[in-house]
Amino acid sequence: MEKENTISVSNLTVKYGESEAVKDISMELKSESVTAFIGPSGCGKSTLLRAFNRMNDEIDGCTMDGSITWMGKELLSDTIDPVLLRRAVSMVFQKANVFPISIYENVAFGLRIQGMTNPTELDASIEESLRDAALWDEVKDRLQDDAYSLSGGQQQRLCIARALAIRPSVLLMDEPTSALDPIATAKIEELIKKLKSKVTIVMVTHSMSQAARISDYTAFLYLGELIEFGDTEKIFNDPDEELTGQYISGRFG
Amino acid sequence: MSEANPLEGVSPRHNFVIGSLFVSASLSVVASALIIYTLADGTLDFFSSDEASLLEFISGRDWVPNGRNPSFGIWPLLSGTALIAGGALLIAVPLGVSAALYLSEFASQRTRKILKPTIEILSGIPSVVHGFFALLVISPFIQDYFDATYFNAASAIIVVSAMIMPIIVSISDDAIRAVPREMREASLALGANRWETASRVVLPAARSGIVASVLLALARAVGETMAVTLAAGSVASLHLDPLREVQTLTAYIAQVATGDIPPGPATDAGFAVGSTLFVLTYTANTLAIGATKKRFGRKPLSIRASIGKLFPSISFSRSNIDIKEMRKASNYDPLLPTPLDMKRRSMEKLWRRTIAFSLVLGVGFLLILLQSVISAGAPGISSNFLTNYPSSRSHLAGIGPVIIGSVWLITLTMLFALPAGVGAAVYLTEMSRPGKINIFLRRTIQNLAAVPSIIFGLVGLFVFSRILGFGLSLLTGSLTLAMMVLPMIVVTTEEALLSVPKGFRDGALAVGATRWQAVRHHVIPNAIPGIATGAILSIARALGETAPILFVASLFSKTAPTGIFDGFMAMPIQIFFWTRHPSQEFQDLAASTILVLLILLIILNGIALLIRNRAEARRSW
Repeated sequence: MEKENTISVSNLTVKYGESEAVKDISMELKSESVTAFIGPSGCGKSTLLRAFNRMNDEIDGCTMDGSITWMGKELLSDTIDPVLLRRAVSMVFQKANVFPISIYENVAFGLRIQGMTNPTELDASIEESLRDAALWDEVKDRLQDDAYSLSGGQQQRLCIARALAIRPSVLLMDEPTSALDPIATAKIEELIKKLKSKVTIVMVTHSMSQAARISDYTAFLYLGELIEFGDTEKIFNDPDEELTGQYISGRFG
Repeated sequence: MSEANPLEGVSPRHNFVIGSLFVSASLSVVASALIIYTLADGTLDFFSSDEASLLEFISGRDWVPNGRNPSFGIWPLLSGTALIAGGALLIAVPLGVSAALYLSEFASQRTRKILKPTIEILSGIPSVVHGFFALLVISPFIQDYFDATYFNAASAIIVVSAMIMPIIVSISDDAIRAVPREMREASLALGANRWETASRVVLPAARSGIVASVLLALARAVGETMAVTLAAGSVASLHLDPLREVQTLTAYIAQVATGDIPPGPATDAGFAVGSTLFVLTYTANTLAIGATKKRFGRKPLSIRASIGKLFPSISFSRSNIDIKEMRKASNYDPLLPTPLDMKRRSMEKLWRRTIAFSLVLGVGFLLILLQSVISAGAPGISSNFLTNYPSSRSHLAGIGPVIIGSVWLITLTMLFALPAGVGAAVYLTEMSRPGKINIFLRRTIQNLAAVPSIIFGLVGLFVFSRILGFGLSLLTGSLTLAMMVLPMIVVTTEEALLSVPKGFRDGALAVGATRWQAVRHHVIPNAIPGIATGAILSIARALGETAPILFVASLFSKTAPTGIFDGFMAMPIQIFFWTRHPSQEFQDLAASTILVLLILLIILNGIALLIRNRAEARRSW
């Protein structure tokens, strides 16, 4: 079971038109853990993240070669419907992108689309998701309020709750705290640590200290290539590659 | 020799320049004041006559302006207007919003690149040409299949919907594209497909912009004159049967304009009708401006949810899927489609096709109409036709003086409108401080843009022709048209100025230029292509416009004008009269004239497109 849920990437190349954003990357992502992608801007870490739920399909001119297998299936194959894939591999973005509707309806969105109509079950699922995202106590009395009335950090946690509601196996997070203040960031980091028992988390982060604090594994990317990938502990204390050491100690990037 | 202190002395004030720019910006206020003065004065005249009373006007159910016992109850005209505008919205709103949704959410870049300009060009088809379509192409068809009368509301409804659909498409498309990309990504990342994303997330988020597009289309439909005058008829009666004849508010004013109404209270009534029309379109426009101010619309309760709230006992039972239970099942595979997933896929396909079809329908319909005018008009075009005068013998008739009249008219119009419009835009965007005056001027220009064209005709007749004594002359006609295209020039110039990066101004100011010097040397030169594009599109608009000059054109003039106080004819007016002619030969002459007009419009649009593309290719910033 453990083995089966591992996401295996082999020789993945992602191009925007002619330019290669991700070059021939191979790696294995273990389930029920937090993996962080780090590297300077433009190193391809977001592009790599967006390959796992085929969000790259939505960008004109973006092509992917190579293979990503998960649960015995080739995710890049034409026979995989990205729409179905994304309910198992959901995503949270850099900017909190809540819908301009109520807090309740934001979380209900994915559930309704998947066919949940029973109001009692909806209520229960929404409460559970909001609790999982550590937002329930703050919003339980105003579920019908406009989601825009929440603070930035609360909006991002609402996005996490919305993604958790459809019970994904993998949650992708693209710099989820880069637009937030330190207090909101701390809350979300706490949350990520708790959530890894329920979902596999793969995140992109600009902040090396954040990767060091919350991830189990870290991948360092540079100019589209995977320079080094391994236990976070090892990457930060005793990297194999000189480049990794230089980046982590702040000598470039 | 002592050094001059750089902080002493006075920089140039440019009082004259800034003063002239302010005057230009104020001209729209003058124009608005003239409109209100004309309507108020004429309306008061009308109500002071013995035959008319305000009570009858607002409550009467008969509109019989002629005869021994005239009766002036506005309701038949209101019902005619409501029938046509309502009918047109009923067709154009679903088609237009679907087409916009398809263009922005589903169409490929290439399709979009072809269709968006096509729709813009189709939206430039003059309303008198739509009148030709309605009366001579669509009406015969409706008469044959639905037992309608020669003049009928239905044919007018169809062409008016074709006229307002491009407005809805283009403004809704802007609103839909303004919805942040992140919103779509959020929805897709939650496992929604493209159609679910478009219908449940994008469309509700763009709601306020779409409402604004519908209100603007409503204002346009209510103010539409020529197509309705030609096709819907001139019998004002209180009914909502699309197969019969109706008269609208605008059509009555046009009837006054064409001299079919005797002088006296019946003619004065045109001003009272004009006031009514003004109030209606002003209201729609004000509501539209209010709607665009809201960035995202709040999603309203769905019909189902509202019914559920009102009558909790009614339940809409749909099969419920327990996601949690499903995920727990040992053989659960998220990548395998369930029956519900299959249903979602087919719904997406169905809706995609439906909204693609509405786009094809809208564009295709107009292309078929264009084809019909080509086949009727092409044989008649010859060198004789282009040089002869509009004789009453059809085989000798031509449009020589008419073309010359049109060229005079648009040249003079641009001579008045271009400096004023550009000056106003420069003042508003570059030279004035934000504040109450600026907001007031802007609001005035926005409102002026929404005034129905036939009302400008009333102002031209009353102010320029009668009060200023310019008579039925080119001067009157071009001043009237200049008032009408002024807002268009202001808006396009403002866009051109705003597209020049702010850094250009800051750079000039930082080396000691005054604000005017920065604008004069670094902003305006870079905005020239944009200003020229806007000017050319305004020429196209003025060239096809009929209603405002309907009052002042000189029919049956055999010679071309030679000076600004001469009478004139213009192509759209000639089209109007030949289309109304009962005999086929003259109707074909109308088709030939339409072709000449359309070719000129296509050339103008082509030049505008060329300037825009070349400027974009050359632009280094």
